[in-house]
Amino acid sequence: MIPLVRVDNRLLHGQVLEAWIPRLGARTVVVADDAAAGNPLARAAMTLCLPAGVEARISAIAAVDFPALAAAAAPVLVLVREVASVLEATGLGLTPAMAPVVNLGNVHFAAGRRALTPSVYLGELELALLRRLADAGFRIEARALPTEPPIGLTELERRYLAAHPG
Amino acid sequence: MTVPRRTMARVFWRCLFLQAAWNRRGMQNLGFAYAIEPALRALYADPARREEALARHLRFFNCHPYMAAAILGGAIHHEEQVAAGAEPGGAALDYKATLQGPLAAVGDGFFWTALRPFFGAVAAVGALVAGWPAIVAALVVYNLVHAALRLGLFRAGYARGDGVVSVIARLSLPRLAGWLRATGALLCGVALGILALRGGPGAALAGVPAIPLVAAAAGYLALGRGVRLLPAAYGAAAAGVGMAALAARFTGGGIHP
Amino acid sequence: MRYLLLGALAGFAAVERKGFLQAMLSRPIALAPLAGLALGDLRGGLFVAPPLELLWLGAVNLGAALPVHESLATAAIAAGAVLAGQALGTGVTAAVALGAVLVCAPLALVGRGADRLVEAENERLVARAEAELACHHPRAAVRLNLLGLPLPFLLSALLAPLGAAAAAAVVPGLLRSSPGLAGGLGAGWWAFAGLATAGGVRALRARRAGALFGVAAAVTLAVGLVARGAA
Repeated sequence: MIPLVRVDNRLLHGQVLEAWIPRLGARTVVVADDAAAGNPLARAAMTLCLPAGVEARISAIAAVDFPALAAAAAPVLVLVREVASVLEATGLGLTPAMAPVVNLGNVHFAAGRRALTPSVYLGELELALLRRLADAGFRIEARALPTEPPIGLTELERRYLAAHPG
Repeated sequence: MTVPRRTMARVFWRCLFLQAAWNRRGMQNLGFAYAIEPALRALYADPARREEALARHLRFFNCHPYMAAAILGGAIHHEEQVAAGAEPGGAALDYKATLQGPLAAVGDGFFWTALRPFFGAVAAVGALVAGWPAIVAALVVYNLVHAALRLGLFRAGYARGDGVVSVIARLSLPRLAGWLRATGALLCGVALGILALRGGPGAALAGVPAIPLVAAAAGYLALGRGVRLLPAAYGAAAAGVGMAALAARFTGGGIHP
Repeated sequence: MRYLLLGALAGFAAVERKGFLQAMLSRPIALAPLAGLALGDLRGGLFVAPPLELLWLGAVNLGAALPVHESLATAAIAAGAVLAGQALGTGVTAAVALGAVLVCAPLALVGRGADRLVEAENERLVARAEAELACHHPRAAVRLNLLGLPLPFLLSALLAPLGAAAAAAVVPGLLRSSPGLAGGLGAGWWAFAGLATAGGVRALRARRAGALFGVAAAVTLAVGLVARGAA
């Protein structure tokens, strides 16, 4: 099963390894990212931070077999870099039945994005993509750590309208 | 084209201020630019190229503050290549972007959630047994390890660039972290035992130092179920007061101060 | 004068904790004895330090996620306990220590809010740095980094003495008006200390943590009781 698909510009880092993996009881992290998969330095660096007993699979999105991950008995955490990557994954067979929750962990500032939480910056494009995911049945939540309260998509949209542009 | 040793020493000193202007948008960006600026000044004589280099290091950056020293050293390694025309201008940026997340994870998993809490537990038990000299000793040892690794990583990053990853891999920090955590857990138990004894009659019910033990067991279970720390602390304190009051009623005597 | 000293210490701790160095000097185990020393009661600071350190063993800064402000709360608790103990003439007892914890612990949450404020302010520094760089002042641009240090210093330097003063006002009054409370509060302190050790174990997340914790506590207790019986 895939208890969580996390959007994180930083991919594998402390919040994921120290907080989410213990919370979910995951033994496997799938890093679905084309750039990381094609970069030997990134692959070497990512394997060096893994605690004993946790395995990381780093592969291009198109090479991930989402139905197989969902069918596995052990929980698997899937990491992608951008909101658009989740949509790409749905094109490759990812459904809300396999992975009910899409978590927004760290989405950095870029032109047109506004600060919606301390670690999540989204623009109109990302919000539209998230709305499509939500309409398809995914639960969208923004939070960096499992100990924080989740912030839903409706609240994110409200904050976007209330936030100053820039 | 190399950076003089004295300049490298200044860069390392400045890297201790990496998080001085930590902000949500760029996180440690200003701190990183502050640290690397003396090296860029040494490498780029042309003001326009120097400013261009500084501008790229003002972009987003975030890592563990100790592990960032490795990336800072490696970024200077790459900037030397860029200044010599051997690498494109973005080489240092790619290096930073690739390593910041994984090295942050290494640092969080080793320093922040294993080594430092381990020394915190050592110092706490030491303070209970031997008073302030034990705290000083624990802090000195922690900082010898911390300084040696922080400086060593900085130098390894500078000397080896991408090769710093294999240097870090050889330290096998995750395995060491497992040992530190287990020993730290033991030390917390030792601290509990000492505190229970230290409490004397004030922590005892019917002559047994039960109050800290019951609070620790109940707290351990409650925290495991996601109860937050501060509510748990107030709950434990209230329960302790309650237990003492109940004990006083049953024994009919006053409570020991 | 003593409040000034305490404020300076708390301010320095807030800076050491995030902006500069990170050498464990702002951890409760170091800061509480220092606060005690600054106010003339090292022993009192040492009394509260171990449980506070263990309670907040998990207060670590992971990426953008902010922990509670263990340094601010510790400075206020240790100083509040010392001042209350001095006012009562008893020094820091278990009851006094718990009183200070109950009054000042919420400062850990207030401090986290202050950290958020600092982060937002620092964004302005970055904007100023970008503007300086655009004006071809690279050295001035990066030196703005250091201007991120005064605000966290000031916030902790103000809040810690306030918290300590509140504890010094409330706790002696309470214990004087109802002396019977001392025993109950004392027992509450030992319960708090027990919970703090459990918090420490949870923060370390070792494998078989519960077993290690329980066995170590039992062995320590047995050795201590046997030694006491022999004495």
